Amino acid sequence: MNKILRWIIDYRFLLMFITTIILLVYELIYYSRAVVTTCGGGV
Amino acid sequence: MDMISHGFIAYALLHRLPYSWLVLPIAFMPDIITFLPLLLQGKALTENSKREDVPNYVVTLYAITHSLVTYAVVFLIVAYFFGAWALLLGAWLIHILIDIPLHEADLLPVRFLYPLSNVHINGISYATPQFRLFNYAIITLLYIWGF
Repeated sequence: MNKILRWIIDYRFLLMFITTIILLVYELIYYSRAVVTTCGGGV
Repeated sequence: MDMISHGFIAYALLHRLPYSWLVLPIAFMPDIITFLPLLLQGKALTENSKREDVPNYVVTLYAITHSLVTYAVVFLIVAYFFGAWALLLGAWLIHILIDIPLHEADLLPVRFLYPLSNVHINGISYATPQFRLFNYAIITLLYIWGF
């Protein structure tokens, strides 16, 4: 348990960077869907 | 801006400070203090919320926690008693500075000189898909720069 915590603390910047990428991909999908919905709404 | 983004931006900019993990709770703190009473009642503000949905005490708490005057007072007190630890409060300053142009005047304007003045900027809303995408792209670049 301590080893895992130590690893999380040591690599926290990398972990936050990876989380940021995941959030960016999520927002990209969210944005794409919003654009599709907007365009589709007019058809 | 959303709370997660505040934490991520502040950490990307201040991660080289000692005890940098404290940057995260400090960056979240202004929003937690403001919205916790609302959350405890099982309510939450969404991007579709209107001004009348926001209780007055939330507006006041928001003004206090998002004021450069409050920040300056707390910074001076912490700097006096704890010295360089006050640098961690930079996360709070970054939070306020980011929020000033990213809130529309008709919902929760950032009165950044409260209680001296109610001056605020009618900014753009952060809660649009376009801005959120832009926001996370900038945060990703900050982390690439931070390596």
